[in-house]
Amino acid sequence: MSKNLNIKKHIFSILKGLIIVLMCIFLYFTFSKPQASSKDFTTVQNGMLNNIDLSTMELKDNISIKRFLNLEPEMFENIIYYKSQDALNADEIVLVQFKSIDDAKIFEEKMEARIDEQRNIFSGYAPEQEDKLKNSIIDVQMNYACMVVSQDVKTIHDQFLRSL
Amino acid sequence: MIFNSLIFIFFFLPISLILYYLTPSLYLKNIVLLIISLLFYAWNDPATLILLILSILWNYLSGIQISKETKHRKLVIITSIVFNVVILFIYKYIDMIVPFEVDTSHVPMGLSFFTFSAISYLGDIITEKVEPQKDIVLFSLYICFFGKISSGPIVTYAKMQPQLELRALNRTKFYTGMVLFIKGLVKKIIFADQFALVFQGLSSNNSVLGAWLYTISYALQLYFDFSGYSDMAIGVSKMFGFDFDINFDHPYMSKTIQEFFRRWHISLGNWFKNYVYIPLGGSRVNNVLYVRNILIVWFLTGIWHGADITYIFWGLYLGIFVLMEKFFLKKGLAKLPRFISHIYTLLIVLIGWVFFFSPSIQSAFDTLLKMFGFGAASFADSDFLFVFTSYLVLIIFGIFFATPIYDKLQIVSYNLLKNKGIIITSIVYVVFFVICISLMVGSTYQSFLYSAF
Repeated sequence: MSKNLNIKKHIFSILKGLIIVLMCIFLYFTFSKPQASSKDFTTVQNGMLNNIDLSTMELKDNISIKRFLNLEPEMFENIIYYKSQDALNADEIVLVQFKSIDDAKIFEEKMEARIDEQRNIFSGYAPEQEDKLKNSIIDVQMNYACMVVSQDVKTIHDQFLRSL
Repeated sequence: MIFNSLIFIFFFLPISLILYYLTPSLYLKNIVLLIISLLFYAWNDPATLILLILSILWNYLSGIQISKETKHRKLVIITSIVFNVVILFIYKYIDMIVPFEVDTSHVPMGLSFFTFSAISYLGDIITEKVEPQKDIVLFSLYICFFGKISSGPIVTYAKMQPQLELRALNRTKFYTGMVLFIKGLVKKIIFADQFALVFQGLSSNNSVLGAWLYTISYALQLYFDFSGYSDMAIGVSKMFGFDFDINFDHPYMSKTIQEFFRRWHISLGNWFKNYVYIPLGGSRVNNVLYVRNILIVWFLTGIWHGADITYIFWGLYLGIFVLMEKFFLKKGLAKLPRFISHIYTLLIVLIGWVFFFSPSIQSAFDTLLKMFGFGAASFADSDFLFVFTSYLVLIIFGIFFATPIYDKLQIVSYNLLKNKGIIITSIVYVVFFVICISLMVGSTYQSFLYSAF
């Protein structure tokens, strides 16, 4: 009788141990999203654009950010926007640092809308620009995010991730 | 899924009721209800179902283990409760202590509520108020019944256990539940969501009266929002045969702060009383320990609402008034005319809500200073007058429905007019239900404020 009870107690302990393990795994996957970067904006900007030729691009002001990207610059802790000087070139690079990570969704939506809008403009007459737009990247990494339309999209994105 | 959605009202609830009433025995009905509840929980975020199931299994095993264990009973009790607290802590408060940013914006639906239900279950087993539930179906249903899982009321196991095994299902109960559900829907859609518009409309107003109406509109929004949700939850539960106690009893009619919180979110107040305050010694201790107990309870009440200094401040602020009433103000308040006591309570509660809704302590003090004329641009400006005149009818009816007058009138009409009174009231509820649905179709409804806690 007492032996049976002991076995039961052991089974309970083993089952509860198993639940703890499963809960840890569940919590790990729930919270294992990238953590917010503590790097300052200039460091991330320099790292991301290291050795990238920006001679054909122009650093745009807040009015252009509102006009082309439909974003309120005040929403962000920091934001930079490079756009090609050539109207027939779709190259654009946006880097933002969020004040609140809750704003990431808005940023993603606005960037998707911008890319769709650009694809509508370039489709048909500039296939190489359309390809660049197809391969463009919008990436949110907690408190930083970028949008890249460029021939060097992969390099810029890799450098963005490394610089965080 | 939320109660005030078209998919719940026209799809989920009717199908659940049909399945439930077509199922022959009570035990099979419980199984159907459990499956429905798990589906309800998984509707928006299926992954969180894993968390819920693990929590159910843990507490199910813990309950039996606590009742059997003699040698390491203390250790089993501590680990069983700590597991629940740690999960709650990780989801709601981890970003308060870690040096990096953690995304705690996606707390699983009802986490605070089902965790508190589970702790109350374990607490009742520890104090031997109840026997552990050996039937996993019944235990799971206690934890995750969809009528109460998302935002309460927090029903103790002792209260629900007899109903899991035997509950009456009849036409009167079903009708009462349906009326209560519609009443809650009206509170939410017609009052809470409209007061939300007043609150939003005055958020940047810089006048004295604007600041007062801003605060009053939040007080009424919060009351109608959560008491509306509670009515809907209790009403839905009644339709499935469960009887849960009311969660709000016209709190703005209170004459003291203590009374206010005996009438506001009653199930949470009772939980803290039974599982924190009384185990700490309650009021049967010396004054120093009593002060400690009250402050602990109010600190926890504040932080339960969120990992923010404003909630903690709100909780401790009210705790201090509870202590002041106990030691200094009780006799004075009893001698005052009822009207003055009401004004006192409303004033203290309104100031408390400013801390509750403000994003920071600084912002709360800015609003409070504005309410008392400091830093305000004017006494009343055109924006305030526009909002006030636009929503005057809502404000009058809101204040009226926050009092018990309507409930009393309804009882009088039932008594005087008998069946005619019931028919007239039913027609009124149907009309209001249609109005609510039309407002919901217009997508002017919002999610429940308390689902965030």
